[in-house]
Amino acid sequence: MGFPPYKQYTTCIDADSFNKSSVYAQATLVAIGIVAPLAAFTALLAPWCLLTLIPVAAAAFVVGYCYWFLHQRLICLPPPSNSTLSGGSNQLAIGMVIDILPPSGNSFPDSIDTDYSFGLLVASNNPGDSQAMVEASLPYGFLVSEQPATHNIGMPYTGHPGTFKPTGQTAETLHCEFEGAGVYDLLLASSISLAVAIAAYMVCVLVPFPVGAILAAILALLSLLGLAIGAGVGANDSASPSDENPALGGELHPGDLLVVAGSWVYDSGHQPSGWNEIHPIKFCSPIGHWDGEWPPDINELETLWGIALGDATSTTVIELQKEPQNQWQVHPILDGCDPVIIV
Amino acid sequence: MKTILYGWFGAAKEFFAILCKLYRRWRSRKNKGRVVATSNCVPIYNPAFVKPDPLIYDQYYLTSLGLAVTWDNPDIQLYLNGTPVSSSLLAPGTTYEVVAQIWNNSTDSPAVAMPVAFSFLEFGISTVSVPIGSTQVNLGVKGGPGCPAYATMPWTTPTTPGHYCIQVQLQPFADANFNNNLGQENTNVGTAASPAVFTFPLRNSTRRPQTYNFEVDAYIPLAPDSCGSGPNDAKARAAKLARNKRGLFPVPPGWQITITPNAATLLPNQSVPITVSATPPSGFTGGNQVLNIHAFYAGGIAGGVTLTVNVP
Repeated sequence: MGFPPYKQYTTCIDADSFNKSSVYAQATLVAIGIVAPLAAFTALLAPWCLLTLIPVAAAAFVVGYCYWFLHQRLICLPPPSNSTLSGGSNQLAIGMVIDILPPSGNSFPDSIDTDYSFGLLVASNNPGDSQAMVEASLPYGFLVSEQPATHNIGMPYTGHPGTFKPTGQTAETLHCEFEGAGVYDLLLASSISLAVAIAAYMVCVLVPFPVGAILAAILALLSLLGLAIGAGVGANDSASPSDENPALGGELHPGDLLVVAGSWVYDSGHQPSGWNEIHPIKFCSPIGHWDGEWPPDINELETLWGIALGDATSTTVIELQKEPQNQWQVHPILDGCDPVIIV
Repeated sequence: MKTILYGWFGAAKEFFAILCKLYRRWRSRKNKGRVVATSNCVPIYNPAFVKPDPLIYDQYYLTSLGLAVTWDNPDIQLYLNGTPVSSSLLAPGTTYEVVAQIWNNSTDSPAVAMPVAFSFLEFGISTVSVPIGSTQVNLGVKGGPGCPAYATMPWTTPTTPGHYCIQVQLQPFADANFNNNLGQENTNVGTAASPAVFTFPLRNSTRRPQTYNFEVDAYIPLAPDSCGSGPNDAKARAAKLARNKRGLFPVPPGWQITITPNAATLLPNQSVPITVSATPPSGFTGGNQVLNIHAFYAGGIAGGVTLTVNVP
């Protein structure tokens, strides 16, 4: 089973394996873990080379931070037994866009997080409904409710209210994110910087003074420059497949009704707040616009979408889509072909 | 440790590829300017944000692509008690089942509970549409079990004898291409009694005076090739489309077709009867000849009818 092409740079971690210490503590530990042995060795052989460990520590800290951001931050939420979608922690929801937070709204350093997110009021709730009402609602209230997996490890849960611009009313939302590549790019750049910084250290220790010191200084500066370039590239790398295919994309508006599917996770990166999210969104399609009423048959609609999406993502259908009879673009009788039937 | 030993090499390779991609994107945007969000509309570009692409055999869209069309729509079929019947042989005051075959050109997005509206028109070109009803259809992705999907609508023909045209309009909320959602079935059969004569109205359904001209061809959709008979890449598919181009299907030699009047200038809502007379060549016996009459105006194709001349 597979969703259409989507961007995913994160992975979620089971609650049992989650490390509750702060991201800064974890990143500092990574930096210390790399720098400490080198520092001890250097202190004995070439104390002046300790300076080259500054970019090593900086790059290692950034690597640690990015790694946490991508792979240690999101906690997988176990799907309920009656989940519409199969496959890991994937969940499907029908809801209304309450607020939109595009990456262009962020300033540095938050701009490195190039995720595009929006708040979804799950069906069949109305703007102004309390958090308790939304959490108790069917069929999607559980998506915005605190889950035992995070409660049992003592994670805070505050929910994620949003303001519906057209009426000014607030509503509890399911936070949904399309992933951008910003932090991933920074991880790549900081990995390179770390290697260059260590090379600077090695040159300083192994190449005689002053040539070694000069080369080490150049490499150290290059390492720091690499970090800066990585941050710049990351901040500008919001996903934009429309460059390859202009037909992709569109616009989101408060009040749009959407079908959303993706990984259901808890985001630990907002403490002391905390909430559940669809992160990343693996499928999102507009199905209407809010006119003050929900379709009366949300449960049936959810079932139909579950079946349709199950078909669309099945490996059988994905293989069938590669067959010659499914390559037409205008109309099957005009640029299609009749499948060969082997008896 | 992996990062220090060899991970940086893979990272460098991938980071270089990202730099190249961003450079290409920057170059391609350089002269286009940035996409500007208007009021509450926030642009979203992500491969996970998908739209379905429902479609039907839409003569107006296909004509805009330069293709020949038939008004005997391959995606619309009428049934009487489960038996397929021709839309040119309808009995008055009889309940038929109109079935529309609907396709999805999206491999990613289904269209669940998509409204499909059925209507009928007096046989002719640009005549007034009368709603039959609306239904919903669950259209799966291309290649999946729900594609094509079939929308069915019962229709009791008017008690006034006559020929009628069926229209099927797909009404998705989101669509990668909204231009291929209107299918029309508009046929009539006449027997050549030297000549075969057909009369139908032409109406100006626009808000301005328009001048209409006619084109006649003998196009019948070609049977698709077998998938195993040759290549099926983009070039081959383009070649298949080219075989269906408008202008490649002239009326066979010897046929005399007269359209009266051969052009018409009409005020908004004004209509005029059009008479088509078709005389088969001498020696043409025991067969049918399909003639597609298309009316064009400044805005493109106004509509058309497919006439079948039955030569005893």
